Amino acid sequence: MISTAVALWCVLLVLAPLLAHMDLVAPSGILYLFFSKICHQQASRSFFIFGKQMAVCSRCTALYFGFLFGTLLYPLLQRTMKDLQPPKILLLFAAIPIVIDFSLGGLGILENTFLTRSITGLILGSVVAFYIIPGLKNIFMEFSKK
Amino acid sequence: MESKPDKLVPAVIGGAIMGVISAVPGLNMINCLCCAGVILGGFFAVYFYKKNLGDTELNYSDGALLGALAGVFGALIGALLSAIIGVNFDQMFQQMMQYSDEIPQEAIEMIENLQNNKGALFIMSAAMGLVIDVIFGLLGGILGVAILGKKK
Repeated sequence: MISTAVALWCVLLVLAPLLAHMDLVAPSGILYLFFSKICHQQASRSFFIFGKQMAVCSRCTALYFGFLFGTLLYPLLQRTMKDLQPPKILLLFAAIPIVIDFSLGGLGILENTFLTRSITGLILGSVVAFYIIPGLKNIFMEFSKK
Repeated sequence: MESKPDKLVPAVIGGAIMGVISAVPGLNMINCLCCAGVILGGFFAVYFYKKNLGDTELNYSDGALLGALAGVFGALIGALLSAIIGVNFDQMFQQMMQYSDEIPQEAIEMIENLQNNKGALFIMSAAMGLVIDVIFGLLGGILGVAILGKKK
């Protein structure tokens, strides 16, 4: 269920350019407007498909798809490992690359690239899933008990 | 059954953090890092709640509720602050036009169509902000419990 919700979110990222490609300006515009609330949507920092830019920038795209990857990986690893909530320090280690990449670019010290934005986004997104899923599972279990 | 501390005040504080980060120009750049400001608001709602919780265990449903509530307050405070600071739709549109080569044309056309109906644009924008703030606030709340809670 969690993977489905995250997959749906990722589909919306692709749907915006697809609808734009099909000249369905109004629904595509609503999607782009919605995602403009959470992303700068600069064309020079975005992936393009169907000749149109994705609904969010390359860093955000990588982060959401990384999160989706994490939600798909979680049940597979759960079969072999008992405790799947990693130590808190791992979250910090996963966040450091994206913060460095973002800060160096923001301060104009070292310009980040599509590759660095994608890799750092994928790392943080996939690791964060391992902290969110146990929490959501816990909530569902609490509600099913009630 | 043990009583738990009030959730309203920590949620308002978390929402205020979200709202300030979202509305203040320059500071709102933090949200360009994948909504970090909104997630931080949810996280801080859990942090302030935990301070009043004492030795009682922090659970995920409380964290999610705090984060989502902080999202509601964050959206309201953000919209209010934007109005006070004076960020209006005409300014927003002019700013968008400056960077029109960098922003999806479909989004610009959508705003152009709604320019004559500012009420609809405001309601649509506020509704979208509310949905985003609740989703990311909730995730921030869950992350807050994962980080601040005791590992079983």
